[in-house]
Amino acid sequence: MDIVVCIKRVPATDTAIKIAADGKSIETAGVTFELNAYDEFALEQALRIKEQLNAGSVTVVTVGPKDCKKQLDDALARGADKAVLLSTTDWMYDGMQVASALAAWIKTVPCHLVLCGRQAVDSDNNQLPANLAGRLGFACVTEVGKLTLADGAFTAERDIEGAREVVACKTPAVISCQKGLNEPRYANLKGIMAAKKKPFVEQPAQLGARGMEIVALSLPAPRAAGKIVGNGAGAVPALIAALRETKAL
Amino acid sequence: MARRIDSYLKDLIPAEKLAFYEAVRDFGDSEIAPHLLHWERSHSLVPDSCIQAMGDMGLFGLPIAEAYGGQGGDHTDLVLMGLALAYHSQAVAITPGAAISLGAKPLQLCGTEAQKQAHLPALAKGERMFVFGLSEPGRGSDAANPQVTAVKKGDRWVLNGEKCWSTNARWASHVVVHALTNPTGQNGKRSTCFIVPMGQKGVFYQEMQGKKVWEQSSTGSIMLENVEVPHDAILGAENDGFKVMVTTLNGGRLFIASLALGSLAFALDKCRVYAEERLQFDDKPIGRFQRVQDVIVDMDIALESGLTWLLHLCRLYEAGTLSREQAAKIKVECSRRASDLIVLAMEICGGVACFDEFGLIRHHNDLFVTRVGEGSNFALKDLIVRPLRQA
Ligand SMILES: Cc1cc2nc3c(=O)[nH]c(=O)nc-3n(C[C@H](O)[C@H](O)[C@H](O)COP(=O)(O)OP(=O)(O)OC[C@H]3O[C@@H](n4cnc5c(N)ncnc54)[C@H](O)[C@@H]3O)c2cc1C
Ligand SMILES: Cc1cc2nc3c(=O)[nH]c(=O)nc-3n(C[C@H](O)[C@H](O)[C@H](O)COP(=O)(O)OP(=O)(O)OC[C@H]3O[C@@H](n4cnc5c(N)ncnc54)[C@H](O)[C@@H]3O)c2cc1C
Repeated sequence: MDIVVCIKRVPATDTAIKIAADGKSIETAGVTFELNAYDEFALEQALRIKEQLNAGSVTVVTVGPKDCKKQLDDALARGADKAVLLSTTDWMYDGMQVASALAAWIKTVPCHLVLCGRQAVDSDNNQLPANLAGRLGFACVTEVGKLTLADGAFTAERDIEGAREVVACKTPAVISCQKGLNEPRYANLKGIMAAKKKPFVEQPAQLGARGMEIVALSLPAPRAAGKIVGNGAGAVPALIAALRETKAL
Repeated sequence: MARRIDSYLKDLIPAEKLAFYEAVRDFGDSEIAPHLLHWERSHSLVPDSCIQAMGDMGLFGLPIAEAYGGQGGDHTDLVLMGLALAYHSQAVAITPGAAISLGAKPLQLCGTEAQKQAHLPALAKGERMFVFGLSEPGRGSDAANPQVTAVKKGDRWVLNGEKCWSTNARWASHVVVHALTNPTGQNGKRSTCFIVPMGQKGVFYQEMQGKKVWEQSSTGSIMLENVEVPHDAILGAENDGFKVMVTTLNGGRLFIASLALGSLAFALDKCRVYAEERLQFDDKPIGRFQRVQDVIVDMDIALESGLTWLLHLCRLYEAGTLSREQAAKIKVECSRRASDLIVLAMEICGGVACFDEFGLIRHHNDLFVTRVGEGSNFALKDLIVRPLRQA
């Protein structure tokens, strides 16, 4: 089975975000980037499927600027066979454009399964997997927390409001991965050294038309200071009143 | 927050070594740091699950050749692992650290092909661990003439005596015992090393209780009572055991220096952040006081110079040109610098430094081991001074 894993680099989750001078993007100078955490589940699942079948290939792909090579190298080090950078000059935020670039490229390679993270933790758009599946004409199951493969078909389990849904799914498919699906591995030294010899392809992304535009970004208002309602057991009624006021009770 | 140490390493090592360091660093952040306090407060050793995870990551096989199932790395990789893990815990770092630099290393350096085939693949996976059995209750710095004896009986040897301070004894499959075999020989030619299975009849292990440093690391005492081993259990040449031990210690001392620098790197980040957060006098950060800045600056200088020196010596080690004095000097300097500075680091944080969850007290205690372990600093100066006294 040939598997494509779509990955994205995102600012490290402990980054103090600053808005750039244009008011529409974030300041990237001094920001450390890392692999989107949900994409790690996607990559791990792909590697496990390949190990289970003892056949096929895992290709990681990203749409983004050249610096994304670091995250692709990391994926190669963990065990992916090939990495593809669909390069852009800008930071990519438009799910329509990214999906069009990925679909255009995926159509040119053998691919039975596309694995994605459930969402990128920077823009939280949550639209790429379904958008991509639509463009490819693939089945799509999102936010999968358990995936089992038998006789060429998948059983995917996902949490829905108050219940667990079990979905049967044939390839080709796009599956987006949720936390809990697996425990991602760390790269080891051998993997890092082997990664240097693996194929790495860089080509310009075929970005389609823009689907949306960010017109403004603003930081959330600073959190208001806490309120001390009193001290000791005597303050409990005041505390309850204050909690009722904020509808926490 | 980006670590200060990372900004130095970026310029000191090639990209793939940096990627490896970062992988171990991330492992430490996710798999070690969140659990440390619990391990400490429950007085537990490194849990088996953590050892297993380090094994899965290939850490126990770092500088072991791929042909023997290892990762095919070098001493720089080992030292990078030390820096990355010791940032949180020297005790965790020394577990694969000693397993490699004191356990697998003598086998790699002095073992026969059959011995390597028999042990290296399992050592590389962390399924087996060797203990470095040099120190004894009565033989610490003066280790050349062990009180543990080995006597030839036909084609076998019979070992008697006690080893102590045996790091990793809890998990060990074998102990490399340095034993007296030729009491009347020339000094340095009186002892032999034997590979002894921990499960062999007459071998008894007991964890040394009450140790307040490297608390999650296993330190055992190992009794040997009429333990019989075959002749091919000898590691290296007969009556050349001390050479096996001292050759091993060269690389081990570089690793100890990496532990000291890992602790220093943690202390530096902790203090520089805390000094800007802690407001005193007019509600302004204590980081504005020059006496506070002095300590932070000195830590920074010690870290950058220590790293540059250490990585240089790792290259000499790989080239086979590292001298015993060089290995001793960096161990002495990094351990004493870092442990002197950490007292000041605690002082500039004030009372909060007393708490285990603040982290500095752990590194303070652990840094003591770096002064004494693998050769006490004062004793090592005897070695360092030798070339200086030659006209
Ligand atoms: C946590 C821990 C783990 C260890 N793990 C191992 C292990 O895995 N395997 C192993 O074999 N050993 C191990 N050791 C032992 C370690 O190598 C010894 O502690 C060290 O060699 C010093 O020996 P000693 O403690 O007996 O001190 P001693 O030899 O009793 O010396 C005490 C002090 O006397 C002074 N001194 C001694 N000789 C001289 C001299 N020539 N000149 C000037 N001053 C001198 C020094 O200040 C020295 O610190 C470990 C030790 C510790 C603390
Ligand atoms: C075990 C223990 C018991 C204690 N018992 C008591 C007690 O019974 N009662 C009580 O009231 N207090 C007690 N204390 C508190 C103790 O007096 C304070 O820890 C001490 O006054 C320092 O305050 P701090 O820890 O808040 O440090 P901070 O005031 O935050 O100072 C931190 C560091 O900043 C630096 N610094 C601060 N000001 C300056 C300056 N002007 N110039 C240069 N550098 C500066 C110093 O290096 C200092 O160590 C105790 C503390 C401990 C650790």
